[in-house]
Amino acid sequence: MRWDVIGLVLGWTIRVVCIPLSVVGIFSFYVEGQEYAIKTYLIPLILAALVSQWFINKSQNSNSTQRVRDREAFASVALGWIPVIALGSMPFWLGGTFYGPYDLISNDASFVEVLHGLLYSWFESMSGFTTTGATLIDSTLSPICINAGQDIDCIAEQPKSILLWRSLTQWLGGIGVIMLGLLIFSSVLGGGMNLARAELTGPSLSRLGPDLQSTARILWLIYTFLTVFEIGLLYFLGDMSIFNSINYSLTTLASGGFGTSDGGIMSFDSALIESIIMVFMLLTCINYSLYYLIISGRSKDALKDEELRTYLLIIFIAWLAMGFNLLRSGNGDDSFLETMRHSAFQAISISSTGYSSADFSKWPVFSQFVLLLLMIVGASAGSTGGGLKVLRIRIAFELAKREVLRIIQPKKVIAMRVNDEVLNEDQVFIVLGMISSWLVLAMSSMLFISFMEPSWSLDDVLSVVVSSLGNTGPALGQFGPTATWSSMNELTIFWTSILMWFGRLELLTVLVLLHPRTWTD
Amino acid sequence: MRVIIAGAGEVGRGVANALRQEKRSVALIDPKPSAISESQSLDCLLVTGSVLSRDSLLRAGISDAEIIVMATNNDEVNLLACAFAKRVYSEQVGDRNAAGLTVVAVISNPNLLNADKGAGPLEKWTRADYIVCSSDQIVEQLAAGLLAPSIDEILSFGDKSWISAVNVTSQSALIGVSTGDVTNVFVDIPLIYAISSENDGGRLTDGSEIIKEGDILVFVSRSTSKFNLITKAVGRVDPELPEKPLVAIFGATKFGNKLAKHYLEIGSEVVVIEPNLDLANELVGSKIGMNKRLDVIHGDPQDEDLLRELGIDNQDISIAALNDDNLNIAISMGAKDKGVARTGLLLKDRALVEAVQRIGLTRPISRRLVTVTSILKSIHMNIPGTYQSIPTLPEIISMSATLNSGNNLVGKTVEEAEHKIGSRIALIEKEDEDGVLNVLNPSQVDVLEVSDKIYLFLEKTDLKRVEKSLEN
Repeated sequence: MRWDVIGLVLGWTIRVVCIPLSVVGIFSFYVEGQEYAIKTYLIPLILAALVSQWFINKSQNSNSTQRVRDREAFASVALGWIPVIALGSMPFWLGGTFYGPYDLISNDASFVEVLHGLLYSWFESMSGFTTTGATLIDSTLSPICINAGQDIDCIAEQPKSILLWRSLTQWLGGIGVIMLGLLIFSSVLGGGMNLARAELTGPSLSRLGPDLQSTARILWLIYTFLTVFEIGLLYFLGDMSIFNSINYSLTTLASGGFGTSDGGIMSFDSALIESIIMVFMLLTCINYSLYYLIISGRSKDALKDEELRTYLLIIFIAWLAMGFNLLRSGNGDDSFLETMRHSAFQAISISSTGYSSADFSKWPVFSQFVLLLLMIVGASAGSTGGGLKVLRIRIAFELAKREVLRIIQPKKVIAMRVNDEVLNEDQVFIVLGMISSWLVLAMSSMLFISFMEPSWSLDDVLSVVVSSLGNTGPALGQFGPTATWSSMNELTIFWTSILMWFGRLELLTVLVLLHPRTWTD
Repeated sequence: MRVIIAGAGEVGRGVANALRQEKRSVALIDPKPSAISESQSLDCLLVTGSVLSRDSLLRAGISDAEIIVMATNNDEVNLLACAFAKRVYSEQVGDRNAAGLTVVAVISNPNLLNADKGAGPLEKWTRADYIVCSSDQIVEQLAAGLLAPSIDEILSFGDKSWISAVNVTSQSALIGVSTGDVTNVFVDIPLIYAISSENDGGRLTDGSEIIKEGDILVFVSRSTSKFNLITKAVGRVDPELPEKPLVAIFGATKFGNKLAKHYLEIGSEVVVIEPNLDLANELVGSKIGMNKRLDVIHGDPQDEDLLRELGIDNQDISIAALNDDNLNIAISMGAKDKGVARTGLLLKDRALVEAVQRIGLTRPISRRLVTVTSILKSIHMNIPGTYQSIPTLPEIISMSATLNSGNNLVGKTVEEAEHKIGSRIALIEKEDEDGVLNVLNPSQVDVLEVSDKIYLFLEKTDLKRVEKSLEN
């Protein structure tokens, strides 16, 4: 392992995150005042600048012409996220969202409470950058709300800059902070493609341009364009405030799910807003390289994409199945149209974003089960969405089909295809490796959490693990869309945050860190 | 004027032989002394050397040449040599565009022709006038031949018309009937255009020949559906072939793949057995590999257990398309023993075809023979159209030509035209008022008109004369 390479990636990644943090700091300066902006944003900014400079100085002697090895790329991406999450948690800890060092100084909180506050901030930041969207901000954990009483909208009570920062963490994490970094430092480091591959969702990275920098630029341009477009629609058509439009657009495109109030999208109760958000949730769960195809005038190829078709089919079937189930079970007082609207919204949202237009934890078991399956499947590869990815599920399905056919006709030569391209064995094994790691991690996490949380029901354990690993956000049971995850104990909170990290970097990138060979020269 | 043939392999020698029969002057170039010595029996100028050598081309007499055929066993050399030959010809003759030299290149890899995945269109950049790739004809001929195993020879006559050469058996109802009266016995039977008998050899028919047992009759039919009637007329019976037959193909070679594609297109279930895993994977990974009716099996084509498991005895057609003649014969014999009614096989060696037919295997096709025919067709492209020699009647040639405004056959009846050029006109392709092309029998046509395409049979000895009158 060449530490100078890791140092360089870490240094530049921290430096990149300083940019949005400064923007929010300036926003805070105008909205919340000088004192709040300095103690919440300036201090972490100075800290980050120093740390990043230290890393870059340490790595000055690195030979940037040398190719970054796979394990170095994977390890540096996995490690690169840690300082980013830590830096991202600072505003929550210092800004009063959770108990922080200022509360200790003013004797408003004990040392243990402040430590817990750090963990909660870490969780919130992790949930943001990994685009999970689960939150701990409620009237039991956030001092702002504890002081204001039980019945207030705790998230809406938070300072606006904190809400903006929360949304921005998701937006940055959506397509990848390292990817953003590559825009800037791909010329500093050779082998940036490995880094991009380690961070992007899905089994492979399609090169959209002649070099990595142009690929990163195209991805970010599409991402930014869609975000701005949604802001415009929500503001002009949806009649949302500009602040809400920005926040919801940032979190929709990232398939994140953070809102600006406890109720989130539910609190608007507007079919128009839900429809706009639904469209963009769907758009962001599609492989971004397909947009590039459309831009390049190859719309036919894009529409022929098998993963896209499979994804849309899954969503469509899930929508109809849940709609029918809800109508049949006579759940709630919703009309036919409202029921279909909510089931469509949930079917699209649960595959990664995690917004909710209705409290689906009260839906019949069948619908909840469909939602759980959608959480596992997730979105398309190469999108900002989470889960195992439709492409992998499809490949696994093809593999199962092949093995059955092989039992029937052992000598038959069978090709597994995606988009008419034959998959080679290596690609299949990587998919299998990812799915089996997911299963092992999910099972062991369920065992651990069920041991730690004796009062939880089976669906609580199952859905929290799946939701964390799939970066969905809301879970089922007591962790449904109207609840926060604040009732978890501290170890569970820490572990679920780790699961989010694993989930966002698609397990293998992080699992590389566990192998001793990664750390040897 | 001279024809130079580069490559004195079986194909080169076959072309040289056919051209010598047309009394043309031929030069053969080959770097291998063994190939040259095998060509000694031909009355040709033999040059030991490479076609990519100026000296060899000069010794072969390129300045006097009219046509040069690149028929070595290397596609790349054949393509490269086209431009080189034209260059050398230009230098010698002073004709900058080398318009006086027709260059024909033979390639065996059909993928090269593809405009996207290959290097096509090859004529655009190789300076070749004609590219010959006979794989399509081989597949077409084999597939058509397997429809009627009793017909000795089935050859394409262009525009979905077929030439059938068939031996008359003792059970034939045509025995004792004159060639002009066959429609009195079998109403819809196609007409007979040539006959070969033991005593008189091959000749064009005038309707008066009395058919005897052992004669070879040449029919022209406008669809494969007439094959049954021809078989019945000569006293033979073919087993019933389902509309969508079950087909087993041995070998995922380029021919095997093309045959698989052909049968998949008509809705058949096809199983391809290939011993080489890479080739099997290549077929499965190709576009036709996506077809649900195709099974590709990796295994030994002679593995009895495997063949039993695949139910080879239930197949309607078995085709051996591997690159090994002996293995193809062994596989086909095995399939025949298991009760497969139609067994086709591809052979390289022309000499094996007759022997294999005697064993009783249905349809052996010599790849080289088909290639030779395709080259001859290109050589005779001064009359644009088809050119086909009939191996069972070596004296007869079939060809087609389009009549231009200056042609002296225009305005004549079919009988007058036949009399004038001394050949038999089998079909006439005419454009109707709506611009639709119709293929008509001579009885349906009053007079020949400009841009009619005529399909005719002629005796080989008349070839030059007929070509000349068609050129005018």
